[in-house]
Amino acid sequence: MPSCLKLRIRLNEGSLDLRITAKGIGEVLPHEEVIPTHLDRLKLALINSTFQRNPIIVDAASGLILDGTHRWAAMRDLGYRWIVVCEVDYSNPLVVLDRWVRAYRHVESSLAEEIAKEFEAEPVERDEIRNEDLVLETPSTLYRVSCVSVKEAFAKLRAIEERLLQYGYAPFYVTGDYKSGVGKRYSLFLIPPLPSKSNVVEFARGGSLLPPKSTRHLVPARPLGVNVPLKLLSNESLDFEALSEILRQRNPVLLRPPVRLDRDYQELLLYFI
Amino acid sequence: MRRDYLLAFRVPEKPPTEAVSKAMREAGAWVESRGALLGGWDYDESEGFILVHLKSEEAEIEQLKAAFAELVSESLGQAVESAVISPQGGSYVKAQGILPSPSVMGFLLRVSHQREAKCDLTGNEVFTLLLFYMLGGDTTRVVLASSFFDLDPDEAEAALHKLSGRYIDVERGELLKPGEKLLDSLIRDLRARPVAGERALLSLIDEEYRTEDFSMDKLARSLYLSGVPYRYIPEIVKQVAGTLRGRRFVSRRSLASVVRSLIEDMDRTDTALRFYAYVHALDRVYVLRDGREERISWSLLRGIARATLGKRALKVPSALAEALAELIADRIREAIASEPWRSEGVTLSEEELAGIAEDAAPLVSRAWAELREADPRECARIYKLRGRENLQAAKGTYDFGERKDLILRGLHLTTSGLLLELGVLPSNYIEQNLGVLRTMLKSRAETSDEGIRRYISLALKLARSPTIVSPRENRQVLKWLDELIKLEMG
Repeated sequence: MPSCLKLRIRLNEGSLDLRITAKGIGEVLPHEEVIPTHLDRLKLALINSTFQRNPIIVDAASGLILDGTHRWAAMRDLGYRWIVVCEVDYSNPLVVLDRWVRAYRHVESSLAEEIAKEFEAEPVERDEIRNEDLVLETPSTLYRVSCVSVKEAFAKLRAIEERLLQYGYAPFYVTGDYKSGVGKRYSLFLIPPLPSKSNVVEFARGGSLLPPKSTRHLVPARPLGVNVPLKLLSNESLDFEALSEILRQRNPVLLRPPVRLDRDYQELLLYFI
Repeated sequence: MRRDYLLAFRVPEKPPTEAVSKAMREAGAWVESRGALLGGWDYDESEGFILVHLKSEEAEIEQLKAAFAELVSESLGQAVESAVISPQGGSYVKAQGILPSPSVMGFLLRVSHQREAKCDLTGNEVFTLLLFYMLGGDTTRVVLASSFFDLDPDEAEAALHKLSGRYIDVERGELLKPGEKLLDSLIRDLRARPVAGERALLSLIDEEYRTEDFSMDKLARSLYLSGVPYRYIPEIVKQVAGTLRGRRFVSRRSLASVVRSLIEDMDRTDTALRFYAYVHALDRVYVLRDGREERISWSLLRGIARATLGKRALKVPSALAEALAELIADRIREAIASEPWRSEGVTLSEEELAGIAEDAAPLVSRAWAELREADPRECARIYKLRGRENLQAAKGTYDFGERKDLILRGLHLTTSGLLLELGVLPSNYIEQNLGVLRTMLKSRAETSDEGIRRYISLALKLARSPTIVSPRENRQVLKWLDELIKLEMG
């Protein structure tokens, strides 16, 4: 029975299948840690809500959470047994794995150099950098932090973040064309390694969680507003037929990006209204 | 052409969902009277954020958005602001609806379970052809919507591939001749037809030897209104029809006894008693008139109905007065049937009866209620204007369900406007309005009425046309609609 609603979205570059269904709260795999303040805020919102408004995005094959770790953790902590998910095929090239670059303001160049030295980082040219490298970038120099594995690179990323925090520097998470900000808005970038998709699944299966906001998954289409009653998700066994009818009760509309709702969306939205 | 839009509003004081739901219903009714459609809405109570799905003409969306915000503000008792929904700062974005209107959806859901192979096509391919036709030839929608009808998107894609070039033109989103031909016969075959029931009309003779028309429809209605569970009704109607076969007259007393006995066989508690009380309810009702108690009668009920409806100084068609009299009787019966053990009579004052009539009158004539504060000529002008707006909008929509709704609304408004111009109170029923119009024209032989005569003929055809039309029927409906809009009326 567990199949609920399979939706195929045609895009210019190909098509993407979304399957909206529910998974046991323990059946999905987080791969990142949560930010405690963000988690607390979400828990409070859930306590005051009667619905799970939006499904989290997971890989159909492995159950890996691609987007929605905080919502999943909030529901787990509040005792829900099920969570509404939108399954996608992670191996589909339209699902892109990117990273969140940490951007810092007003970091003295002497501190950047000190950190580079402490973490055995060496200056490199841009074309020498590989995806799996952990990189520090100042307006004048590009440093590669010496690591033997991607796992170690993430461990060092966490250590450098903590060190900067000790000095009172909190990061801004930026994406895309971050380089335009070097020396203008930001004085230091900490660029996490970009693991492969299989690396991410491996880490999650092995139970080693990456720091919060290590990965950024770009899914070209997502469902919103499914509004599944939370009451249904607290039962020990889930009535999939009821869930299926609840999903069919609503009328989805396609919204082409960009759209601003609770945040800016650059992907195609299927809003169940 | 109507398009889908998503509008965003913010309500600073974050009212409860129930209040927003009421406001949406009211604002939705308003936009729908103008030929637009409220497709749905979503409210995030924690953020006070409302998303509204509207279907409207592009030129009207700004105006509708402003009016919608005003109506919602009024209903909620607080100012509702437009919220930014596009990064460019706009408060609405274009959207694309996926699923069709409830009528089309219902038809597809019904037939999705009987996927029969036709010609050289499998059941899934035939159903995909129907989806393609009903969804305006948009293959993206076909593939996306397929899962709602338990058709796997893979199968829908494969079916589209097979249909392409032979039955459909995917590029143009159109049917090819063989596709049209197949759908012409298929859609007619798939329509539900009423079972040929007992249609013989009988005369019912009451205890005072008065006769009235009786039919199995009337019996079913009485059973339902008296609270007999629905599951017993078809069998009771069938048995009564069998008992009365070949007869022209039946006394109310023997009919009520037969029905009571049948109910007692099926339900051994107090259901039969309630039915009996319902049927005989009016026998126990008296009306106090000029200091004397008088048994309630149909002529009295008709008189009260006519007097109530006549308060607007317009001619009251007899069918309209009859419909209101029936409603008043139903209300009295329902109240009395809920107390089956009460044997003493019930005396109502004329004022009480008039109160019931006033309360029920809008159910037979909405115009009667609106004319309480409006001038009939102005009302007629507005009805005709809105009627035309709805009919124009019907021309611009390819969803058959939405189009039929717009046609019916447009026809109701225009017939109401025409009747008001002729000094007649319109009813809530299109066919009744058209019947009255036709009767009125018969008594006048003016050539200026030619337009209205043609209008009546076209309106009847459109009102009685099937909602889900085959390609051939669709062309005919569009032709009638086009001619009706172009007609110069009155």
